[in-house]
Amino acid sequence: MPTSGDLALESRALTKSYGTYRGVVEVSLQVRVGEVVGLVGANGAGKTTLMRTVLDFIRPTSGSVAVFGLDSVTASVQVRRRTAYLPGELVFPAHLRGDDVLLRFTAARPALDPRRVRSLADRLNLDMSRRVGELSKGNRQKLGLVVAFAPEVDLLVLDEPTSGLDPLLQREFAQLVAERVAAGVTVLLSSHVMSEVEQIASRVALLREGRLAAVDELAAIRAQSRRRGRARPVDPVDLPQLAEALARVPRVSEVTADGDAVTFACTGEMDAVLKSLGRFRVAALDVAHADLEDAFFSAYGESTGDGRAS
Amino acid sequence: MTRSVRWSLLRSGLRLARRSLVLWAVSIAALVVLVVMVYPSIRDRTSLNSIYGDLSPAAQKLLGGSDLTSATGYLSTQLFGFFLPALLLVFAVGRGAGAVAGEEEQHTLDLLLAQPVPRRSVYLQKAAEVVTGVTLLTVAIWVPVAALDSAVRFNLPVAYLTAVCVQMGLFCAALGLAAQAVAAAVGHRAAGIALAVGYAVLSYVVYGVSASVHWLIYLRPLTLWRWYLSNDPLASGFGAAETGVLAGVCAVALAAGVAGFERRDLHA
Repeated sequence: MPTSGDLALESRALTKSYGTYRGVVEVSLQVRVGEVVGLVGANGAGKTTLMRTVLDFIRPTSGSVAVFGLDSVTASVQVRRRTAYLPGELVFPAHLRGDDVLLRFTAARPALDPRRVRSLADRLNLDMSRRVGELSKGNRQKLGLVVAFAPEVDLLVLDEPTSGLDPLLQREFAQLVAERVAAGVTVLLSSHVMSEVEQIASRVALLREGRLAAVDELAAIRAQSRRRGRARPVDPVDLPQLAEALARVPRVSEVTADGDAVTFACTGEMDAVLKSLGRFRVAALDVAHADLEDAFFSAYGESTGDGRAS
Repeated sequence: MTRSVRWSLLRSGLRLARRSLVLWAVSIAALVVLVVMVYPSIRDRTSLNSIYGDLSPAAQKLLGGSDLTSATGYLSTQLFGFFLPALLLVFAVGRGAGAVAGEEEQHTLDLLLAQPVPRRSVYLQKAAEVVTGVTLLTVAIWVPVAALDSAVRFNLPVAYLTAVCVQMGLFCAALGLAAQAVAAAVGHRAAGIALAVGYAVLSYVVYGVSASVHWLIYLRPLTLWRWYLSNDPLASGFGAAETGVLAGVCAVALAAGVAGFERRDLHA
């Protein structure tokens, strides 16, 4: 277990209940300095509640949150000095220009580096002189990212940072996060879909109905993920032997003949599969991209339905 | 933290509100000029006084007096008795209720508070914005009356004009800060507006009717109108008790507002 000196963020049995409305229940999560952790869960699973507790917008019912060893309630100002936040529900006053928005929401921070602001806006392809009311949803999201990334902080708390961004900008965002992480910054981000997190996060925490259902390294999830494959021999006569050979390979399952090809599922490394196919003349081999979301939910969840709702 | 960062939210707030503040100030000043310029045509027509003079004491109180043609009577019935404080209340209560709860309802409070400032400081800087606005509008009232004083032959001592302006400003600031406190304590602008406006209207009626209904006299100290008007600042200058009570209500509203806001969970 890491010592508190290595932890950027730690929630200890954090519980927040709002009468009948559920917040989070006994969430204990540790985020090491320099890590990128993705919170994944359906809307209402508690991602936003957890993040807003870090910033002291809401107070724990029981348990606590510490950021760099500082308590989120009693040392809230110090915590926020080292933390920048991107809200999930992002709304700016429509009559303000981008520059005004940035000034307004960083006015109480040390002066920003104007070059850094300009380079951020350029990279996200955002015109800071336009009024918020004229901006598309995606552009407003970019403005939120500028507000979050412009100050010099040690922790970024980003609620649904990529919602509304097109794939190209999602890649730019991943690049931005990687650069900040290389500079020693820790990132906690959330999404209701795994695919938005898997390119960026090194660890994923799954929240379900307010509880932390699982936390794991992405590499471990990848290792458990199942790929679906389809091998087609040149000579259909080989079909039964090919199926038999595949079925003997460890960690291969669901081998079925399907017309002129054999379909199968495989967990972990593909090497043994390829070697077993070596004896045959293979006309085509298709392997689908591993669905980490599937892997995550099949490994940790009894039902995938509620966790994957969007 | 340097001083410049400490008041930075107030400065950025005023900067963003400057256009609407200027518009308010110019409009109110223009209205005051208009009303003041009418005075010379009324000054010598003492027969007009019978219009208000025939009314019941309560109605006279509600209208700001019975004397239309003297300088203090005219200013009181036409401006300071009801019209200007009502306008200023609209501004103060609207701004006060919106100061914190408005940001919360527009989902911008999270981003303001994500900055390294105590909640108390955000609340107080917002309150300072409200008070600055009320002060600006009070000045926008004082200046034209003072400037036109000799032209329309009010011959009103500057100290008396200043007294009525300060007491009116404090009166409106007190209700604006009360609206801010209530709205911020629950996170809804409407709550602050409803309570402050409801109180202002009800207490205005109580203040006026207490002139005819004897037992209501005991309720008068509970109406802020009494602390704004009943020492007749236009005719007698500052009232120490009046100014003190109004300033005290401002302070209590601020303290209660901070306490209520600091304790709360904020709406997402």
